[in-house]
Amino acid sequence: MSAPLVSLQDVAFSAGKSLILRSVTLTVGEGEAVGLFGANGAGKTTLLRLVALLSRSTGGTVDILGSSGGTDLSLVRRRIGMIGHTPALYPTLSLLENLSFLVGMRGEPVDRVGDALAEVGLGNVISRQARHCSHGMQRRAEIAYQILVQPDLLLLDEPHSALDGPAGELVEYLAASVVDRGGATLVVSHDRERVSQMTHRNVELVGGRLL
Amino acid sequence: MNQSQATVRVFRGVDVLTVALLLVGIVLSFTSPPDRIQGDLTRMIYLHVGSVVAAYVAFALTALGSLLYVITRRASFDRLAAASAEVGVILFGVVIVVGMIWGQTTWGSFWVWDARLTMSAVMFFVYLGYLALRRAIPNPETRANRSAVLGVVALAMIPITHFSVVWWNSLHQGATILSPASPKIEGEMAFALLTVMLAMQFLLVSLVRRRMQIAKLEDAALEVAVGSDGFVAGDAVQIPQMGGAS
Amino acid sequence: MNGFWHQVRTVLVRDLRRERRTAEVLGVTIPFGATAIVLIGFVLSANSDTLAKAGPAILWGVIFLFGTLVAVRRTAAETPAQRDMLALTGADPGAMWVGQAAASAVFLIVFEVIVGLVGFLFLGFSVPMWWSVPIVVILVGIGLAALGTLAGWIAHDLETGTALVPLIVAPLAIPLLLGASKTLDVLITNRGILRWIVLMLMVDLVVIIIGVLAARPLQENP
Repeated sequence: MSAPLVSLQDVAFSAGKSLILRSVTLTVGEGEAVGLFGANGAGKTTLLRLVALLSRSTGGTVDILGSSGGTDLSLVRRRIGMIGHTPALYPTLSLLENLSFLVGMRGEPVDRVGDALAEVGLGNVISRQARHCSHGMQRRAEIAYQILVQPDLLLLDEPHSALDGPAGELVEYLAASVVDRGGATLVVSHDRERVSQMTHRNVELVGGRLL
Repeated sequence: MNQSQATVRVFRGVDVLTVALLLVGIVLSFTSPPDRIQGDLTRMIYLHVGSVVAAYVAFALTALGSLLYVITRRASFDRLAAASAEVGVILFGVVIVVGMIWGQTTWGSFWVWDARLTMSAVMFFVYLGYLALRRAIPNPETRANRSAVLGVVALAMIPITHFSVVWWNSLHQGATILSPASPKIEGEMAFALLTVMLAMQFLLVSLVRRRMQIAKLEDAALEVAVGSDGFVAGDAVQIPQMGGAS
Repeated sequence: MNGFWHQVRTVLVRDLRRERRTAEVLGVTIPFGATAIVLIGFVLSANSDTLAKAGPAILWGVIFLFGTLVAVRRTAAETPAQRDMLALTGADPGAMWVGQAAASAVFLIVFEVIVGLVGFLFLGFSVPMWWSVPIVVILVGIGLAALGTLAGWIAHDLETGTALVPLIVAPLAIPLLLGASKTLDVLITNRGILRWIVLMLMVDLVVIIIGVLAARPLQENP
């Protein structure tokens, strides 16, 4: 197997006076889906943001998609897809405008955005402003964006919350499509049963360490 | 270690000299002859001028520390910038208060819109904002990073602001009652002034050094706190006790 | 470089659209600024001579203080989730900064024109050199927008962020304020005005250069 997509060695992270991650070592290879569990406030989201290269660890080494090789982080970041637990859409832009904006910032053509929204069942509401869409609809739109951009590393933070049954399957579909292409998925969740069905193995974050 | 011992000795020397020079300065500013026109009021000028020069040096150190932090990302430069900004703002507070008292008694008004005064007010507020920013950011690395950017902006903007204020003043003013370019100063008074100025420079070095040491200890304490077992995430929540304390 | 300007335009379009939907600047900040002008004019109205003399200074004072509200408008502040999403597009932070500052500049110029007209009507002063007005309005709009955006990035996500931005911007905007009010000064000559215009241009350039350079470290250190 070639180099792992995610490689964390003895990673620590502290914010102010609290040590959130003490010593985390995690390797995720090509085509692998890993579930990440832990109590509220255990640092799951923090860990996910470290993996997304959105914050810097205070100790240990982090290598994501070869990021430690001194390449431009922007180029690595654009290969990472993340669905966070709060919606990231602009409330006063329509779903179509929101996704077109992000795709436009990537420098990619925006003509497939409408189709992607239709694919997740939002075809009738593409021009509705995000503030008039439910939490679940916004999440569907974010799934549509990830389907469109096909990230090599997919990070999901509580993906099933706010989603109804069929939409929940979209999460699994998205994760599977990434893994099938040789990418990797890391899923943070409380829903062990559901997530275990889509992952190859699970780890648990306790006391700043992975078990 | 030898080198750090030497450093400690140098700074102890600075402390001793600071106290000595301050004492001499105080004595001189009260024993020097009164000004022919201003009388005893002139004694305030020693503290005023001494502080203002030190304050400008302090702000220059803040700018330098910010710039060096941006380049090297070393925490000690951030501490230099922070410490000197704090000391600078305090010194400038002294400058402005003393200056206002002097101005009221000499010019008949607390404030005159002269270029130098305006510039002092501007600098005071710029670094007040800088300190407010630092207070608002809990994470040390984020704080260092963002305040360094502000420090660099201030560094770039202050000369431009200075020009603008001088130009504005040259068109606007002419009504300063007593020209700040004071008449010839007597030898004894000059000596007192120089002594106080020197003393304030030593005071600046000593205070900034102390403040940096405190900041370093604060950082170290934070690390110890982080390293201890009491603060680990995940201990934040416990298993809910349903049904109350039965 | 092509990608850079494409990203700038994309961000600019996003912000213009958001303003069109919320009318935060046009519907709230501008009326607020205009109210301030009218209130000050009203309080000083006993002495119309004072008003005519102090008019330009009052006008620019109001524009500068209320103009910072444009920079801290809610639509200019992104939520952490939005910032994360944007960072993961791999777009150039410098381009995001320029796009955001450009949008603020557009709003500020509209703000200046409308509040300036209100000031002109209610404070009753004369403008000695008309040709300079559009230049000054544009230079002030760009400079204040750049300063405000930079301060906004420095203070983003902080508890006191929206209160901090005006405190950071106000003292640094002094060269712009002096330049702007000088151009309405009756005593000033052509040569005097040119010098101020060059100075304001310099402020704009310096702040834009720092903004573009600082955008990446500010983004990468959340």
